[in-house]
Amino acid sequence: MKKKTAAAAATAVAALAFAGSAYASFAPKLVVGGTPGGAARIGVVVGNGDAPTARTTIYVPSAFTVAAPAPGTALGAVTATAAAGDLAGVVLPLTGELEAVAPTSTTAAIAQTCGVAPAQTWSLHVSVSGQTLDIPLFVEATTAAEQAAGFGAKLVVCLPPPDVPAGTPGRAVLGAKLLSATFTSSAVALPAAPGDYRWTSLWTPYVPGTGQPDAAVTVEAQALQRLPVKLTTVTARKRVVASRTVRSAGKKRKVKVVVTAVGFASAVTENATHAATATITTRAGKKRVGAAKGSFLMVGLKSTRLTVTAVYDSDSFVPAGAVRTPADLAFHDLGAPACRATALFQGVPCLDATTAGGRLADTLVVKAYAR
Amino acid sequence: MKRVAAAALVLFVWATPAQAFTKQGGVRTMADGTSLAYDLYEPAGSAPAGGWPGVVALHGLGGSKDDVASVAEVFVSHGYAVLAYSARGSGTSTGDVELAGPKEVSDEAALEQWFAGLPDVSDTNVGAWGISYGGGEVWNGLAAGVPYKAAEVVATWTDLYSALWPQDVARSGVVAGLVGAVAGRSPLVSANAANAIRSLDPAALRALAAPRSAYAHLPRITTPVYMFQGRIDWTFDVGQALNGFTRVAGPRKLYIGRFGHSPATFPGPDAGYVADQSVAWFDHWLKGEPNGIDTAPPLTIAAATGAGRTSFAGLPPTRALRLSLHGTGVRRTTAVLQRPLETFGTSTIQVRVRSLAHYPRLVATVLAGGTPVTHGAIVPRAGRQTIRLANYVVYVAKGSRLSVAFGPSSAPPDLSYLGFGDRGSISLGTAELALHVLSKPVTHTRGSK
Repeated sequence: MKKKTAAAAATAVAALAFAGSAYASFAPKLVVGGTPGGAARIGVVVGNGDAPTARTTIYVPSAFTVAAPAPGTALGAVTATAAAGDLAGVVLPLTGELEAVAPTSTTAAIAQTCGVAPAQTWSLHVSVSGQTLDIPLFVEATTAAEQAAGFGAKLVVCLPPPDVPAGTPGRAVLGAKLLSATFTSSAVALPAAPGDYRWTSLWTPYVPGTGQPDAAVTVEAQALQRLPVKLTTVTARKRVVASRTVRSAGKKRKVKVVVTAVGFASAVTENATHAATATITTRAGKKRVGAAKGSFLMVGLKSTRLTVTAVYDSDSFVPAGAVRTPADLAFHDLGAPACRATALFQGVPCLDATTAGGRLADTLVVKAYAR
Repeated sequence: MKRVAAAALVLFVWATPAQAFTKQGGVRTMADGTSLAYDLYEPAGSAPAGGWPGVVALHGLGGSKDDVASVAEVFVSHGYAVLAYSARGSGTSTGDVELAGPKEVSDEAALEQWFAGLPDVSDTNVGAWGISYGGGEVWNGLAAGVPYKAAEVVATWTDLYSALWPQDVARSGVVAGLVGAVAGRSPLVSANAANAIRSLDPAALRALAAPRSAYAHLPRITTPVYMFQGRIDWTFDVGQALNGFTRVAGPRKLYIGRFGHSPATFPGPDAGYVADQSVAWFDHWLKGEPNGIDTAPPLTIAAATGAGRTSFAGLPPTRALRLSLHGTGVRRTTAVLQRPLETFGTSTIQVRVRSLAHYPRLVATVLAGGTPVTHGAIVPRAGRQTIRLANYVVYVAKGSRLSVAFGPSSAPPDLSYLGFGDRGSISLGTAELALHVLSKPVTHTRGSK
């Protein structure tokens, strides 16, 4: 009987877990990565237990260039996950492309409902098993006040409500709630100049079950990019003379041996300050010789290839599916203390800041002392 | 986005020979008042003495009679009368989809009886052809005694529970696709959707699946059955057809080809061969033509590429490869394969679960260079566990390295087991892959020997 009760309770808990009627929180995250001079890679994360997102506006710092690609231009890859309320909350992994598109009556209607005046219309064109979904992403010009606050453009996404009754006009297909998305846009170029660049975003959820945006619960989430990110390695060699006993013509004798002692030290810096977290591995040839700092001896070698790999700020990932892959956008959550509320938003709570992570590698050749 | 996976709606397109026939639409009313829309195809000209041999053609889930029009046209062009009808809850037919349950089987029996009673159609020489859901209806019709003289089933199940909920874990991506295809026309599916997708109550799912599965009745089926199953079909694996091949009492034949539900397609590149075999099977068993199909080797496997096929007198000889999985993480690899292999049979992974917390399902995906080979899942418990892997025929080239990804869902690009955003943890120990492979691959590529 006990077993039956437990099973029934488990079923009830699971049923509640995807009933989607009561959301405990709304704590989205914004992640921005990319390399200087290259394209920006932008990620967003919303908890499965959070209220569904109605609108998000991402503010692009003025130092970033936002180009105006022609409609039809593919801008970069998109991965996303969404929980399908109509399918027991199964998390759908979506993949596709970000494209610049010409406005249509559909995108214009969404922009109007959402209160956006788009300068450009892009589309997150994603699919799962051949079934496609197009989510418009609007590029909107910033106001004078926003420019004064350091922002050059806004990226706006408005999502349909997933938790209104089936059949309600405008309801999200399959009752799907966006949980995460990562997209690269070649139209958003990172600045070449070093600096600390702070992106920000405003998020408004729906009042659960109503399809009405809950402006009172609007929150701010930020992403800090400290550019450039560099892996630097310094080495120092020391000539060490040792002796070795060898047998020659039946007699033992000592011979001089020259050995090269190599010391190394590596560090990951973000705009010349140490990365929040970094795991460094150093190999000489194929052999692991240490982490960020260490030393090893070169015996009987003319030279060796020192390979240093660093994984920094990568303790979390923007999900692209339930299983992590190396391609997922990595980040370190700096938490609420690192979120500096933007004065322009007049008291909107600043909940979170992240810094994007990644992987760096450096290779150098160390020559041994010949004699 | 209306359907998650292309798992349900199957449109089977065959090239049709241009021979004259008539097609007449209509509606038949079942005993419970449900109206079923049908198309009746008859060859042009006068029927032979005793009437045209007949074929009942049954469509896939979420489809309609229109989806099997090209199949009907092939058969009618070869001298068969064909009845294609939209099952209850499908197309313009009324009623609700009940997943090849007793009501659908009752419809099938009624329509077969009506069809065989038509003046131009043979009373006794009527066969059945069904794909996916329609194939399940054919099997269940045979189990219930619908008097088909021969049958052909394509990409379907014999045991619905083991197909969709193996080891009590839902193939959530597949099941979600099926639910999405018919939930709007099936109160039964809607009512069971959450349980089916999340496998919350295995006993209830077994009770749902049992009357919709022919498995227990297979030894009593004496009707000649030709099974066509896909090499790699994430909805219904080769094992579903092997159940039929090894258990039926009557003549049987199995072709494992290059078509199927996702990640394969309908039709496959071997559609011509499938059509020829289909016609030949009915020509022999319904028309009595001595074309030798009944004496040819009963099991044929298509090569992964090209037009090659290898036939066997029975089950193909296999061997088990035991491959150590290096590492203790969630992704592990085997050593480089010294020769090519082609999977066949039920492979397993033995894995030690050291500890776990809130981890409702452990999915293992076997990949070769990023391409899924097979997968399986268990409800994990601490200790040594065995994960049974789906039976697909996958060719893996020499020099490849297999990898196994463990997680709460299948690894991309495999969409069979989707997750639910659970936040649990698991710690795994040693693992070993026992891979069942053909003793000799049927796929031959340059340098594969």
